[in-house]
Amino acid sequence: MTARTSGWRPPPIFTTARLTYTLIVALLTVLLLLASLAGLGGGWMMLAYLSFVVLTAWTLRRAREEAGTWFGLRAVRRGLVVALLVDCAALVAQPAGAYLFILALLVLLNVALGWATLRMASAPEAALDERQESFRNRSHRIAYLSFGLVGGAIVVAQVAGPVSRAWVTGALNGGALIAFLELLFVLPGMVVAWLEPDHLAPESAVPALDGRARLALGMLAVAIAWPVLLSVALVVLPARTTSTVRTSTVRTLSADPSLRCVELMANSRIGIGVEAQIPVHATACGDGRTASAGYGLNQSDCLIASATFATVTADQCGRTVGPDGTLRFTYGAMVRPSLLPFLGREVTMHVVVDRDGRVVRFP
Amino acid sequence: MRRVARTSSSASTTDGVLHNRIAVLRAERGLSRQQLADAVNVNYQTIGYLERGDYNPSLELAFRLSEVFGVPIEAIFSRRPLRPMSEELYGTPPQRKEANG
Repeated sequence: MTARTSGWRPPPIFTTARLTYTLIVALLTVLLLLASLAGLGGGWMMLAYLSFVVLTAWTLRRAREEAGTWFGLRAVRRGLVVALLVDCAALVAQPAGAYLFILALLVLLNVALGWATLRMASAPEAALDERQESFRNRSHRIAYLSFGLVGGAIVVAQVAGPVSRAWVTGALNGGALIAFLELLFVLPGMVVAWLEPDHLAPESAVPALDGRARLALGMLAVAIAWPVLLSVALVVLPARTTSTVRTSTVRTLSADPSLRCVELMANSRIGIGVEAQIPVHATACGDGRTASAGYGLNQSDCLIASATFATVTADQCGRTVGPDGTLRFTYGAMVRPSLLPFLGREVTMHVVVDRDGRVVRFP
Repeated sequence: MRRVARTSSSASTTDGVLHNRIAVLRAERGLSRQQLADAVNVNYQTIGYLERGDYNPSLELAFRLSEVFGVPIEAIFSRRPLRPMSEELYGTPPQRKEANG
């Protein structure tokens, strides 16, 4: 881009793009802190991922202005706008667990939009020529006229009555609020991307991407692929199960000398970052005639699994004692990554203790 | 090679189009779009939009183009279709004369 000669002005500190990125990074940080405070296991992995996303966004911004003829095509830019709108809709829908991934994708799509439109919508006047300036003004007019209609509807709903007011208060919350702010700041850029005609192909051969642009594109690919790979890994990687069996102190407290008790502890961990943990902690005893549960092995013990960016649904949970006095407990759970909920794997934990208090199968 | 420019609200014309011969003048002088863009202080895409008629310039930009090409503004822009430069210099070709009667 070329600078206009008519009067130099210092570049503004608070541009729309800077405010948007600051807002998104702040929101991500708050969400991450909340996630860490909630004791989610994947907190550090997520911190590393979000740091990588921010670094990718920064590298993309520093890559050269011309993103190549591909981004200059209006059809591609319109596809980017549709992707942004879908991402905003996903934010409003608030899918459990995939929230941070959607926010990270939002950051990357915003950077890509800025790249494709040469950041025309948020550029200061000094960085634009007369055509770009008039186009930017037109896009702002269209964007905020549309936004004004939505804002007007919200104001009307606020004053219309208690029912509509309650609806607005409920609707503009969490992801919907982020989507609202995203549109507030980025809608002019979307209008530019949607309306601007195809850019002209360069007169000379398209120069190969320089090192920084290649690095930026590589980082972008990794940033998008990483959550998908971790989600697939949850399903594909073998479960890491640790278990401990030891003689329980319950025996020493009992008056029955034939009673033999064991304490069983197991933890099955699946996935990395996108992960689930299924623990079993129980005590089982056998007196030579029948085995029984001392502690644990109840329906409520099938509800203590934890997951990070994944969901765990117990689909088997039962305890039986056979005619031979053997105690059997089965806990089966379906684990699904939140980002790819159509994938899933079954994890089953077994506890089998015979009537003499010996562990036959665990886990 | 010469493209016919569509009009915009900023440049009303009698027949609804503003014609220009920027592409011809640029080619004659062996200038790339980028070189012409640098000379008149605009983005090189803007030169392309001017050439293909997607944008009509302000008076200031028209004067800058006129200075760079060293020709009057009316030699670059016209409200009527511009005749090829060769026709303006050497007259209408014979076959065209016959065809026109």
